[in-house]
Amino acid sequence: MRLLQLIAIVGAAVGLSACSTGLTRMQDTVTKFDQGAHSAGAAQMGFFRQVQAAECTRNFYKQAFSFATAQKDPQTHEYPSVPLDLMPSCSPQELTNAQLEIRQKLMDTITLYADAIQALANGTDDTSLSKTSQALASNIQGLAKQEGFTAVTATDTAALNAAVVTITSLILDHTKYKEVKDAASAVQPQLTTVVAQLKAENLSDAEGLASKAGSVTNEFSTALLSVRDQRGPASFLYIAQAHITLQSIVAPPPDVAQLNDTLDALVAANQALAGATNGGAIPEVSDLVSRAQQAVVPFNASK
Amino acid sequence: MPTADQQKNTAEAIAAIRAAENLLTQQIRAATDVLKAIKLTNEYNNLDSYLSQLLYAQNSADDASFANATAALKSQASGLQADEAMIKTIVGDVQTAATIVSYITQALAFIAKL
Repeated sequence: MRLLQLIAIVGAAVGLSACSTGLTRMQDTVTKFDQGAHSAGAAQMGFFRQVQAAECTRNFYKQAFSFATAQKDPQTHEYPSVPLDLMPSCSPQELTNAQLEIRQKLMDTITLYADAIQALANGTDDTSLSKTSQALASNIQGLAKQEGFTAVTATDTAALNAAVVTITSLILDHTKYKEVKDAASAVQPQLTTVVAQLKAENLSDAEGLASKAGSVTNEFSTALLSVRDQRGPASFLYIAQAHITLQSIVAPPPDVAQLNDTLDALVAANQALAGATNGGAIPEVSDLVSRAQQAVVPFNASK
Repeated sequence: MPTADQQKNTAEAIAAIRAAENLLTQQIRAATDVLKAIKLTNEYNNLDSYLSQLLYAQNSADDASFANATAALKSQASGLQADEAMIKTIVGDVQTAATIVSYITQALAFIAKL
């Protein structure tokens, strides 16, 4: 009889230990998912800022090119008045600050969701999310309810806003879910919708970035053609200087495919969490963390 | 909010402008005459400015700003047509000039549908 009791106690202890290990592993996995989501968010924000900076750079050099290539009036022998502001202020018009703010909120929707399921994994309630986070989630939800997010092409606007409302509802009240996998499963379609939108925007922005890089590079090429006419072989030195200057003012176009692959990895990691019981999503979450860390590097380096 | 068709047409116009820009860049890199290179670069910059406006329209989050953006784009159609005429006179290779102009014409057609 005592032997049976002993076996029962040992069995229970092993079971509890396994549960505890499973819980810890899930907490660890979700913590990494949260880190991956935040790194992906940082990479996105770096990309948005690069889009704005590229427009400002383009604006300055376009003005400088117009100034430098102005032609004298053949009759008066005077140059036309071409403005040149060497220290211009810049207010981006292609991706305005207001538009960037909306983009940021879309990305914040994902990072706040990651924070929320981490709180769920830790067994804490909604109050563990800071008041700032809750206020931000409420703000984002309000914007979505007013159809404040506009789809590009990958998904339609109504579905996008509905997706944001669903995700922010979970952020603001995750207590209706008892387990991470239930919450992850509940938002998987909406997360996919939001990510599709971000990816489509990234592709459009990449076109704008490439166009601006082309603009500035063409101006340098044309100017060097003129220098060669006037300086001959000595233009080599100007070419070398132009090469260095271009590298410093035109950020290399970011690898948008890498950025979008990171967003896909985020969706895949969430899908794995939706099906995981005790941390079984480790490969997918590790892939997310790895991709997100790589994606954010170029933007950290360009600061 | 912009309809799916409007968004699609905006995206198509962006692609057409980029295609024209890429061909212009090839012409600029191959140019040996400074004046010709300057003119081609100016044409490229005109297209780049137009592209910025298209991207702004695509990013517009409300009906009013989208309507304003598309109205501004349409009002500049004559400017793009002037660019087409200028490109024909600058680009020596008739076939390449025609291809660049065809991309701009496509962009104009998509913009007209906005």
